[in-house]
Amino acid sequence: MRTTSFDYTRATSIDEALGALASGAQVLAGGQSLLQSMKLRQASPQHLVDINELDELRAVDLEDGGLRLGALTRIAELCVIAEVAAMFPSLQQAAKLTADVQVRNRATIGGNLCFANPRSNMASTLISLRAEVTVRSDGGSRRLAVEELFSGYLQTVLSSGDLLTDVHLPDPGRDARGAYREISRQPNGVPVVNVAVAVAEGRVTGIGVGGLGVRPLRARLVEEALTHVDVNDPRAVDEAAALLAGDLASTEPLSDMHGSAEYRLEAAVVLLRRLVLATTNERG
Amino acid sequence: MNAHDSHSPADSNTGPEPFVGQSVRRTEDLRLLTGQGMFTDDAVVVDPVYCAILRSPHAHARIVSVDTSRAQAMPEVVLAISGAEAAEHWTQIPAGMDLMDMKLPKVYAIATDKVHYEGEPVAAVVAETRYAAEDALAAIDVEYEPLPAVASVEDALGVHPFDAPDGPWSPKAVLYEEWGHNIQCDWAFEIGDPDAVFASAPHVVSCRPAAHRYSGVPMETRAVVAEYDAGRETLKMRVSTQLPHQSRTLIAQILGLSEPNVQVLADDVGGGFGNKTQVDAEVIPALMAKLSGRAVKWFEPRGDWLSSGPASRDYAHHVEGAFDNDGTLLAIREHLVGDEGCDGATRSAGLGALLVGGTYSAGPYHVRSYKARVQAVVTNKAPYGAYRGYGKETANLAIERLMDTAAAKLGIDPVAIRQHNLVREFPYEMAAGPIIESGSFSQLLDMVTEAMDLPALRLRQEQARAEGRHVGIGVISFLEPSAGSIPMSVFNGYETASVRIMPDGKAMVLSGLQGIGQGVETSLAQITADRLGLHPGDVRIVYGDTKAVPYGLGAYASRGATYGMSAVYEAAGEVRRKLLKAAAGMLEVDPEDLELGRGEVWVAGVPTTRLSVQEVARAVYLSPGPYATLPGEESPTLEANHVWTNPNVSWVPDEHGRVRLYPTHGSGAQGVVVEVDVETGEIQIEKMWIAHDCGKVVNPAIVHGQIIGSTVQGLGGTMFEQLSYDDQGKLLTKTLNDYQLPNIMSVPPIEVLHMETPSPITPLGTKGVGEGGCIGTPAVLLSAVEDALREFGVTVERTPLDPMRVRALVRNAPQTAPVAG
Repeated sequence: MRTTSFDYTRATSIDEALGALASGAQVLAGGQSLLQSMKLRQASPQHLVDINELDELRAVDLEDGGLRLGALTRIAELCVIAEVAAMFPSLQQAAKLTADVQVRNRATIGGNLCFANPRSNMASTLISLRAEVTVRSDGGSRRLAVEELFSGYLQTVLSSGDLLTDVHLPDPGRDARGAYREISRQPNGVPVVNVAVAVAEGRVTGIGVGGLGVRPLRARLVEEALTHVDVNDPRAVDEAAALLAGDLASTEPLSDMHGSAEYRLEAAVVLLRRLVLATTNERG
Repeated sequence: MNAHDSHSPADSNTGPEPFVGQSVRRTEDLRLLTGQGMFTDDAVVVDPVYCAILRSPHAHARIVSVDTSRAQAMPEVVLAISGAEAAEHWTQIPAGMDLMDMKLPKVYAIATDKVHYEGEPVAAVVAETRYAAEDALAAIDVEYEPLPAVASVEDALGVHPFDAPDGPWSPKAVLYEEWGHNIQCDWAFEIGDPDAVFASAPHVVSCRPAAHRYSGVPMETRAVVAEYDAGRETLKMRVSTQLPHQSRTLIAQILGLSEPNVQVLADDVGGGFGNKTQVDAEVIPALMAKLSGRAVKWFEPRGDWLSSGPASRDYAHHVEGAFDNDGTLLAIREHLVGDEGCDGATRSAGLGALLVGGTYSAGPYHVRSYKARVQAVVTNKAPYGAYRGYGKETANLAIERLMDTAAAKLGIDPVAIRQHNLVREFPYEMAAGPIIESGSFSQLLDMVTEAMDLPALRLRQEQARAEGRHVGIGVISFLEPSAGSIPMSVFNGYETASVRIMPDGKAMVLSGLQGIGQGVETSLAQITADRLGLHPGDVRIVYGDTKAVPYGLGAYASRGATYGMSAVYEAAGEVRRKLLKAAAGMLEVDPEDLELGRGEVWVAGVPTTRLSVQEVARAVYLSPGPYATLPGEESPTLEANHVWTNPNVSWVPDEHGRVRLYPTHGSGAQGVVVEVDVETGEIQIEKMWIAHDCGKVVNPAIVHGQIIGSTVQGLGGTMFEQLSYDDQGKLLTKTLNDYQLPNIMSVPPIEVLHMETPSPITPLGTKGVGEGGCIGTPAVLLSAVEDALREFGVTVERTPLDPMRVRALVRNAPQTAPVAG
């Protein structure tokens, strides 16, 4: 299929991009989701502003013991950046399982988040790492936690003039570990459910879950429960993981041909229990 | 230089090593791998316009009105047309098959009064660009009156035929009012008093295998480039098709053109799999070319393929087996109910797959009493077409699940009960009618279990169970009927070949087969080369041009190795005879004293007395010519035609209602080891084995590729691929994001083992190849998963085997087993 016609601006500065966005343009980053929906004529934006020339959106910097990733960081880059491998191995695991190599070469971390697919590998993993994003607009800039970015199925809280510019991964803590796991019809397919767990000093510091609700979730109730139990005790961990049902109560459950709401919850609890036991009991 | 080239004529008195049997490198690969293929859309035509098709958003609706005027007024639009307008210029789609009292919908390629599935064409445009054509679709105003959607067999009949085989039916709606019901075909036969055998049998087991809807997804979707010459009243069409000749027949008929005035060209076809064996939307760009006077290009979007492409499987099967105490299969009763979508006979050719499923459910096993009932039900989904397997996988899943069920109930080892029942003497006339001409079924099963080291695997399985892991082993046999020949259809039982040696000593073969990626350019060249003493590189195979090639039937039903190769072999044999006769005259010896090979003919034992094939050819055609070189020959040039048919095909139903539609029967056995995560339902496929017998192998590398490819397609269909509809008949899987094709990471190691049991009915001993993996893989996977879940006491008989459904089997299991932490 072919797209409807649209205006195209290749921005040479963030301000130029913000100006175009303020006048109603839509951001073109890696194009791996947007162009598909345009070709299917599910989306027909009148005006695209291409941000791929904005080098400041590609920077990867150490920042306060953590990492700042420019919004244009490609998923393929996450698979190979040494700092990501060393500090945030779960993010690298999740990146490697995202789509196929051609898509990973173009898809960006910012674009992935803004598409707000509830089953996004990136979203659940970044949530577990307590990542934040910087959002700029004509009016200035603000920061928000990744889990606060999503408002519904394929929807974010961003408004039309907003540009997501950076992802901030905070200091993972001492003896940090993390792991990502998904259930999918097959590797590199869209996950049915996915879970990411971050651990520091043997304690769980964050849990992100995708594919369970219509938006990616942070499993706060599970995180809280795990602070009170012995993470070496499978039964206790299992009971804590089961609180995921309560975390899901904050949003509408996802259900489709690949997984009923019931299956998704059941499978996510299993993944969560296994990941917590594995990451907290690892001896590096 | 290969081994063949290093020989010289003096090496042997028995002639050179044949090319048949060697992995000759595929002639077609260089152009395909270097981007020089000629697929339909690659055709360059003068000043083309682009066709786009507006498709129904409703599964079932009456068309109240179609207004194309806004689209027609758009600046780049050349022509916009509704179904009613098009109906003035063409006929309804002629049925591709018409037998067994099947009902045939009377429909046009663009719907006129009613739509029967989401995706049915309702209007078409041609415009100067693809963008403009698609923009114009949005400007066509269609008013629909939605009708109740028939989205399942239960919707179609009001009751499932397993519960009430003869109704009464209370359909939610009737698709074709003139039928009065929603059953396209209801076919039954029995032989050997099966009910009496069941009544007295020591054991009766039953199962209800069912498969979801999936199909082939070729890289090249449907595509047409059409040019109409009004002065000559000729139509030239490039079509992505498996049947160029029948396409020409049907297109000429639909458009009211004289058939000799229509040329269909199909050079490289980017995937067939049975899916491109009909004329449906293909005729739309042809009509647009005729009406607009412009060359028209049409390339079907992927989403349209998924929503309107010929779909497959989607059936429920109730199979019963009567067994003796020692595991002997005494009788089979089966009832197969297929959800065909809106049609399986006119718009596409899937109905036959259900008949095949109902004919071959004894598989490679001996049984004398057989009773079958097949009901083909129409619903408001996309048409039902041919797809690799074509019902043979349905039959295989039924008998193999039955064998496993019987083995468990009778306490017999699952391999032993198969060995006990396999057919061992040939030719073997099946109770259902077909004649299995040859086979080595028992040896194939041995080959697989030996390669697997089954005892060691069973031990490993026990150890895994002790650790709380669930490893499963599946072993099955399969029968691979090939060269399907359906009477009263465009899928008939013959093939043509025209073989000639040109004056330069090189050969040209015109074959009615069609290349769709299966390597016929290479394998037919190997056969011709051996017959004519040439190198395969000196043999040009021509197909896919109705202007050049005698009427033939193309590529379907794995018929190439039976019909196509045999036709070429016989035609080349006649040319060989004339070549040797001419050479004998020139050398003044008897033809029987001559040997032929490597482009030369020589006197046996006197290799210095020789002529090149080129010298003989030049002599026959030109210098001095046929009067001198082939005196008395009726057709004195180095050319021959042959049409090959087969006596093992029987058109006319016998007194039991049986027909014989497949003359050759390949076979095989498969094994697999899986591990199931019982908490998540995920299946890890560790390794697969497949032992295969397609008779004489012409090119081992091509056969190997066919076996691997069909196994991966069988795996994809069983595990990942799914055309899923909601209860309103709306397709949920409109992209390859949701319809997941197997990727390289999902494919386990596959070990292929070969055996050659020649067919006595083909001159080379060949049988068809290409569908085996699709036939056996669903059964072996279900068998292994059931084995892995044995302690839960579950029956695995439905696909797809996705994590959610596998987990549900465990969750709802009659028994619970301890789970590892």
